[in-house]
Amino acid sequence: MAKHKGRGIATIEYPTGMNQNGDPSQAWVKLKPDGRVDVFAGTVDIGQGSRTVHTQIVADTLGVPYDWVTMDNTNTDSSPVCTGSFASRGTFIGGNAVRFAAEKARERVLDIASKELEIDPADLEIADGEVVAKGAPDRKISISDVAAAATWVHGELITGTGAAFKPFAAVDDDTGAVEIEPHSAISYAACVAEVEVDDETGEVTVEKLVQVYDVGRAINPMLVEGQIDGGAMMGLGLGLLEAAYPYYPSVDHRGGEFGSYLMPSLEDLPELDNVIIENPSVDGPFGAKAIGEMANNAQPPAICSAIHDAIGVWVTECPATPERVLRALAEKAEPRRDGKRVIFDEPISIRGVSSSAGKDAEGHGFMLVEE
Amino acid sequence: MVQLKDPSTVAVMLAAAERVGHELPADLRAMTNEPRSGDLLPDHLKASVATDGGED
Repeated sequence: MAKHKGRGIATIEYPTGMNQNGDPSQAWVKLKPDGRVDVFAGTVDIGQGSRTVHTQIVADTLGVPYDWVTMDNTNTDSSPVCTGSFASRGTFIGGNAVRFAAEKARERVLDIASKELEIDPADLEIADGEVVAKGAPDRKISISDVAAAATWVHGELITGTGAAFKPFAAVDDDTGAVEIEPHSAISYAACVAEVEVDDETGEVTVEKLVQVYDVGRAINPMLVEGQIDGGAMMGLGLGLLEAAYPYYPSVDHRGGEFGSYLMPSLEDLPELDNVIIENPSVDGPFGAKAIGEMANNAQPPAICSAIHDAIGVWVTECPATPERVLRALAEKAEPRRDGKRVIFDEPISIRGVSSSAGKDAEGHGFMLVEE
Repeated sequence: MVQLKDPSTVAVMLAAAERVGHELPADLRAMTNEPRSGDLLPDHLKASVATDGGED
């Protein structure tokens, strides 16, 4: 009996938002007479940091300092429609809504400034809270003065609205083909897990997770990394511990209280090495795609792959509990591959929880995998 | 035909391998995000590629 080291990798792709016009987000931006900016949007910040990111997007789009922008997402009576914080859509779709609104407000800022400076709007640019003539930096007006002029001279409220919306895809009746992407963006990630497996107790210890995420553009890298760290803990739980019904559909050994539900604590946190790759989305706000839900998907398969590297057997159902590891060792379960199918000849407990897994006519378990 | 505009599966995998100090074989290091063709094309994709003009 011994402890064995192993390393495994998993790669994933993860879509952003819903499709078929399922999840619009809208926003409204207005300037106060002193140039400070109010943003009304409905995206709920449940800790992911969308208030901060949306504020950054508006500030950078308008060309004003971050602390000039007040983000109000607190009132469903006054906020425009947002279908919610789900599907990893907060930055891409909610962020696009505030970006579009800020772009329209920016156009009005430039137009008012054009009248004040008597310069064509196309020859103006905005930076650090000032509208400046291109090539003539001494010809300028502050956005505060532009907002004041709009209010007291031109009788205008500088404002803009924006709506991010994924339209219906036209479906060919004969072939089922569509001509637009089903999702707003797709993020990509790879996770390498390094584990130690005790072949006597079946216990798996994840020692390190190397996680590489392409998020398009990390508008706020600290928040992105925070989600990667949080996702690692969730993925660790899914990979090793969490099972509400360990013998589903039997309710035997179901936890009777929250305290009996196993999930990782900081004591279980492995060494984390996070890498952010920026491959900008052409449609995302400042190139952003998404992080969100994808952050807890790659760890379980990477852990199972690492277990195989360590002890030579596949644990085919998560979480990889000591019981399952020992059972796999006893059965020496070895899958074989047939195209996109990974087939397990043994009558093992692959449960058909989705269209990508189940049992074939001969009772063999299979999983569909991407090539 | 739906085609992803900014795939990066290869990029994240190469970065992960580099990060852990695992030297991939030359053919894997030479991978790109361009659509595969010829010998690099998996059997199960050959029929669909022939149908839709060579991109997935």
